[in-house]
Amino acid sequence: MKILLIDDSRTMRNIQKKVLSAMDNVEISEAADGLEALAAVGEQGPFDLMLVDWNMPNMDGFTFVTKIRENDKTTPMIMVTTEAEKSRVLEALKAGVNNYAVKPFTPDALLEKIRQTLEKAGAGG
Amino acid sequence: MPLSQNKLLVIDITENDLLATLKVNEDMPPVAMSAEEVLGDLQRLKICVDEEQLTRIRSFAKELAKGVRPKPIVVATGTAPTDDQPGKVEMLALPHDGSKASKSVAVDYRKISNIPVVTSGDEIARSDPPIKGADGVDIYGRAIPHKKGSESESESITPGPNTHRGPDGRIIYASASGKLNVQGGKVWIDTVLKIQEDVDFSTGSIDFPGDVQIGKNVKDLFVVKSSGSILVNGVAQAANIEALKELTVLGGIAGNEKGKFIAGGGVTSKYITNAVVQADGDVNVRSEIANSKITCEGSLRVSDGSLAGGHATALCGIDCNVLGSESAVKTVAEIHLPKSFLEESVGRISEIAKLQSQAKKVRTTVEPLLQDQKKLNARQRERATELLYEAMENESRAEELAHQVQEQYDKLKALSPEIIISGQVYPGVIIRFPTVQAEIKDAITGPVKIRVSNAKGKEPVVVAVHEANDSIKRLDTKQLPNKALSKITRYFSGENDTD
Repeated sequence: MKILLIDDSRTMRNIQKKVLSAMDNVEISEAADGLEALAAVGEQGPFDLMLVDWNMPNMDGFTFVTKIRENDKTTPMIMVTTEAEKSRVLEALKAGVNNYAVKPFTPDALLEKIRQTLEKAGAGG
Repeated sequence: MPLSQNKLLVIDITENDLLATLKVNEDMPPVAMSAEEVLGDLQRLKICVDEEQLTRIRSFAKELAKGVRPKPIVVATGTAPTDDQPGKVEMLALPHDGSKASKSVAVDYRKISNIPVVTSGDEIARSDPPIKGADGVDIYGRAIPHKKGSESESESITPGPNTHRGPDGRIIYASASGKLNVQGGKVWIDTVLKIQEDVDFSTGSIDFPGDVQIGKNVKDLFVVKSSGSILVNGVAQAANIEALKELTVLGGIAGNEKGKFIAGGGVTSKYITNAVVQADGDVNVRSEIANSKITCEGSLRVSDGSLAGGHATALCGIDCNVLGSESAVKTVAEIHLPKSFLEESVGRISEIAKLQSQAKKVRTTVEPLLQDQKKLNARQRERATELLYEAMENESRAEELAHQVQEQYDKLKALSPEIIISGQVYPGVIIRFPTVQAEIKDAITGPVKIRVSNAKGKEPVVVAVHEANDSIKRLDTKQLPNKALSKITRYFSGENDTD
């Protein structure tokens, strides 16, 4: 399963990678902002799942999700962010994310969200 | 020799007819002579002159014309013949020649090895092919024949077992490490060193990169080292023998309080007296161990004989017929723990405590904040995630270390080593285990097994279990403080460690 992690914090990407190591057959790619992520989708895509931070330099996660959804309605995406306001959650869901994880999260909680999302998308987990 | 008819010029010709020099007769004044006249005189003697020499003769004649006495000039040169060169072999890895040692300084001839040893990849020999010679020419233009060589004069060498020729075909290399042999134009390497006689001044000390087999004895103060196994068919005296694998001494080890014997594997010997022996494997002795210091990381067995005097310690147990002697000679029979276990376990236990404490500190700080996340800003949320992750990582690493400690502890516990005596244990014997020891005051008749009894809630005691009737005799036990082991025991009993 190919997963793209998009977060400007390397530490956070490492945490997510460690969380994902609990899953079998996972191939992980990384991007530090929305622009890098768009390039990664073009060069290495399609992905089976994308974890997207909201606040990032160059291109934020919300813009990235909007751009992806212009052509791709199916790839599961989870917004993993410190933006905890209900209005923001609704905004992100409206833009096309499949699930939403608020930082701080425990590794188990994030893994559960990933499994739920993949199950709903029909990819298993 | 006068050259010209007027005796003005003199020519000197070397004995081998390879050089002709022209000069003016010292007894006569210089008189004008043309170059053609000089040349004519030379031709009369059939001396061949080339262009360069002709130019020189013209300058010579010009000076004569001026009434000057010219310096002598070379008017003809020949070429010497080059003889055929036979093929040659040069040994690049020669045996060390002890006789070359300087006589002016003190030399320990025991340390000089007379056995040629090579390492895999070493250059052993170089063979140079025969070179064809050429005829020469004298100053009269006559050929001078060269000396011709015969094929039988040429040396050659053939690579044998464990050697090979390099890509240029001239160098022979060692394909394995071992003893170099050269005989009958053949070179080869033995990976097992076989010495028919004693290891003494005739062989020197030995450091061999393979197995060593010694036909007779190893004499006092000689050193034998092997990266394989060593077999001594005779007696090992006060020598120093080190084998990376097994050491077998069929005749016995008589160390004379100076001998040291080390094996990366087991040691097998007929007897061991007055020696220091260290084995990473088992030590098996047929008749006797006396006044020796034995350290064995396997089982120590003197099944048909006695262990008396000195200090014998083993990891997996000691088994002998007689322990100590009637004369109550001090004999320590010890069961030890591997030093690495104590060091590693104590290190791991300290690390576990540190990791758990770090994780606990983070959780007690961060988790209450998560009860009211709305109070956290974005940066604090990120940081909280990182800290929780760190705590989880520390806990997981601590669990991993705990597993390693437990695994090693269980493995050692399963060994439950004993000291087994089939015959007699004499007074004067000290039985030592990692935390307790007992001195034998009254003789014990075997067969008996001596071990540690760990009753719950009580201090461990040394007991002798008689196999015949299963009776257990408690021996007068002294507790031995062992800080490292206490720390490990406290860890397994769940007590907090304050170190």
